[in-house]
Amino acid sequence: MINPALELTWNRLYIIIFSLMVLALLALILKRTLFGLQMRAVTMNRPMASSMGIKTGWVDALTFGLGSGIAGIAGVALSQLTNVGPNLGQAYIIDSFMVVVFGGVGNLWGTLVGAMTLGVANKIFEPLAGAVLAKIMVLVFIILFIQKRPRGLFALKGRAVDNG
Amino acid sequence: MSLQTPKHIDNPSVLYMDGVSVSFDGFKALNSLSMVIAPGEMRAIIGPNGAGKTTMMDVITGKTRPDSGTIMFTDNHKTEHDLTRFDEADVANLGVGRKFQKPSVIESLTVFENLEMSLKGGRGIWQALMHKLTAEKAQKLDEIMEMIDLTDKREELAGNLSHGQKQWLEIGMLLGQEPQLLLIDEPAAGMTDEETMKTAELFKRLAQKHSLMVVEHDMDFIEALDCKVTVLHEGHVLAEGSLATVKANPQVIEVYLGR
Amino acid sequence: MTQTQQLGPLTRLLMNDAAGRKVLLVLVLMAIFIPLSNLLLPEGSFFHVSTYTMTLLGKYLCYALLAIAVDLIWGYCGILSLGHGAFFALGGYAMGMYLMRQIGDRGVYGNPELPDFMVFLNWTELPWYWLGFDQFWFAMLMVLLAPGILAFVFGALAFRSRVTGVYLSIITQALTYALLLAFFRNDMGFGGNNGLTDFKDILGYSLQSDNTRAVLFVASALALILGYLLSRFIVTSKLGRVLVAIRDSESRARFLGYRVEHYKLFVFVVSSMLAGVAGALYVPQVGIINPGEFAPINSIEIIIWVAVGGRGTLFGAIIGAMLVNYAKTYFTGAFAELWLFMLGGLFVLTTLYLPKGVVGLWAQLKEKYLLKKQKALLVSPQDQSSVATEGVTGSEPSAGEKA
Repeated sequence: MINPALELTWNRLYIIIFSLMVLALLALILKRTLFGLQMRAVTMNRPMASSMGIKTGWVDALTFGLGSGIAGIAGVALSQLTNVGPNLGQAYIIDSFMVVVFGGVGNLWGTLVGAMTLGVANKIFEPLAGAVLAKIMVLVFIILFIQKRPRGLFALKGRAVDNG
Repeated sequence: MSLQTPKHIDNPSVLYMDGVSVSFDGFKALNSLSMVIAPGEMRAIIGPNGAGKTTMMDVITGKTRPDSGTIMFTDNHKTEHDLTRFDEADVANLGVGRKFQKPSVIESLTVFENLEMSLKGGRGIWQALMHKLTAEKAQKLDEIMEMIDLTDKREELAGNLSHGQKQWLEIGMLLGQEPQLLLIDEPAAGMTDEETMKTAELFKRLAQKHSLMVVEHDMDFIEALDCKVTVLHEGHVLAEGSLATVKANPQVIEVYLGR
Repeated sequence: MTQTQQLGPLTRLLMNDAAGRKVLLVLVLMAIFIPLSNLLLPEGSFFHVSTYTMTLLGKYLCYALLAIAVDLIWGYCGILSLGHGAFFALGGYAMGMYLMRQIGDRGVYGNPELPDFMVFLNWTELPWYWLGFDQFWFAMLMVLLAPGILAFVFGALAFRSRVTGVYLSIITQALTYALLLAFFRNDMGFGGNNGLTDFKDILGYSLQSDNTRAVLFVASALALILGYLLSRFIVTSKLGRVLVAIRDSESRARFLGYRVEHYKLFVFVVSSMLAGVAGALYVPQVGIINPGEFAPINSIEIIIWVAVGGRGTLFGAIIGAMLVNYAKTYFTGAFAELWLFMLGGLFVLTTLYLPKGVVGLWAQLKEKYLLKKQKALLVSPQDQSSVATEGVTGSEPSAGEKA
């Protein structure tokens, strides 16, 4: 639709915009709200956060809820692309793990870059080697990549990280 | 006893650091740090938070690689080793023991098992699998437990010890390793005054056979150690000398003591 | 501690392991009486164990061995492998390849050299990696080496670069997933989707006969017992204490001069081989091996068995594997529609109320009982201290909270 080589349906375009909006919103929650601050505090130093009066159990529960909600939104977006069924999410479990590990746990930018890289890499290899082999190649690549960067693409550095 | 600096070339050093720099994401944790520790010397290190004390120990023990600089360690056989080339396990086996700021003992093992693990030698897989406690080693363990006052806690899980006892156990584990150089990070933290003084006594006894580098905030403790003091600030040495000299240094007063 | 040195090797392994002794005793009794009752007692007898039941139990024994393998690395060394199903499946495939070659010309296509699926794919000769699998000893060697070498290469890379925690768990998951995809491919030469099946016999004995089934059952029980003793040998040695040190405080172990990566690698390889043996014994009893065994969910299930049984106890892993799989079989049969919910409920309940597993429940109850007794004693204060200490002994180093 854009030009003969690049075809993009409106559906997919909306999904891209929608996902970016969700990402921006999430970044905003993490950086700008009290809840985001508490969440980061609990991740970095649970006992300390707890002794400062943060209800760590509640933060855990809310974070889990937030994460589940975002996964749900992802499901909504996905429903525009594929058939919906109870096993819809199963195929994405491994992929989503890989994205997080590749990008670095606890880092939104890493997740975005990780997801884009792995997705694009998959699609580049696919016509060359076939869908299954492409997937295997990406997995093997991640296994090797992790050796070089044991904490992902955008790892937090410094002393505090090792003590976690 | 060890207030003179080892200046002459024929005066050997256990640890020789020259121009060591480390930075994390642009922050200079160590900035051209140089220091020499003589055999049998006890050295106290003080400095405000973030002065680079722990990073210095990380660099010596192979946990962090310095960006530049030399760190040489001379073992009992007068062989020099470039510590920047080794990792934690290698450095430990060369004869550098380290005690952490937070007491770090193996909580789900007993006091005895903790100490047994620390005993020098037998670091290989096969040796560990086939390990047997010889009478000689058992005796050594008894001596260490006696020294750190934990004989009656022998079968107690290390996790059940009090904070001060954990500190002592960790010091005991250092002794088991028989290192030439002991790096000790805030040993007096969480100890009662009496325990602190006992620890100072123990260190003074150790200094006859080992070299010690002690990081501490507690001025009474340092006073009791009665040794040369190095003041770190922003990753380099600000002043060096006896505690009295250092305390009188106007720069030191400005950055640290007088605040 | 010091008296231990004078005792025999078996005594050392089982001295402080009262529960383990009981589990082993049960296993030995099972290994003796179940095959006997299957073979000797008439079918109608009350004590007759059907071949179906015996095979099912044999399957559980293989799962138990797999659970021990996982407990060894997770419970003692803190390595949470979410890919141990891969080693199990590799052992299974090695055995399956032997069994395929045993079929000979009795396959549908009657090709004496090539298994049916290769004929079907129009292959003309055996791929090089199938050579040697007609020899039993070679296949058994591969049962150990295939998982062992994979674990060695993977572990050497991962542990040297200090990949730990969630990162390690996820790349082990990636490992098994990559193998799953690979084994699904027909051109890999492992039977693709359908895997390896239609086995006829093992060492010349028909797999359908009760006698062979009984021998396989005994072999599984023996493997489990030996696997348990080997693991006990490891965890009761100084090496075992180094593993616990690595689990509790990896940096402390390093600064004591232990090469953490070597220790992890050693125990990871041993564990992968145990898993391989379990897989090899599993395949002839269920009669099939297919890529489904590589499914990530299988590996996660093993973790659940160990957690339900009680992490870091070894015998707890046996109990957990047996219990969960029995529950699975029972629920599937009794509530075919609901079994997944029941199983899910079981897991949620154990994690919520039994953080130390079923084995921990026993210790909890015992402690409560002793506390009661102690309270009773307080009324007539005699010797409370001995009771108090009794309450703590007998339990293995419990699984640390740090995962």
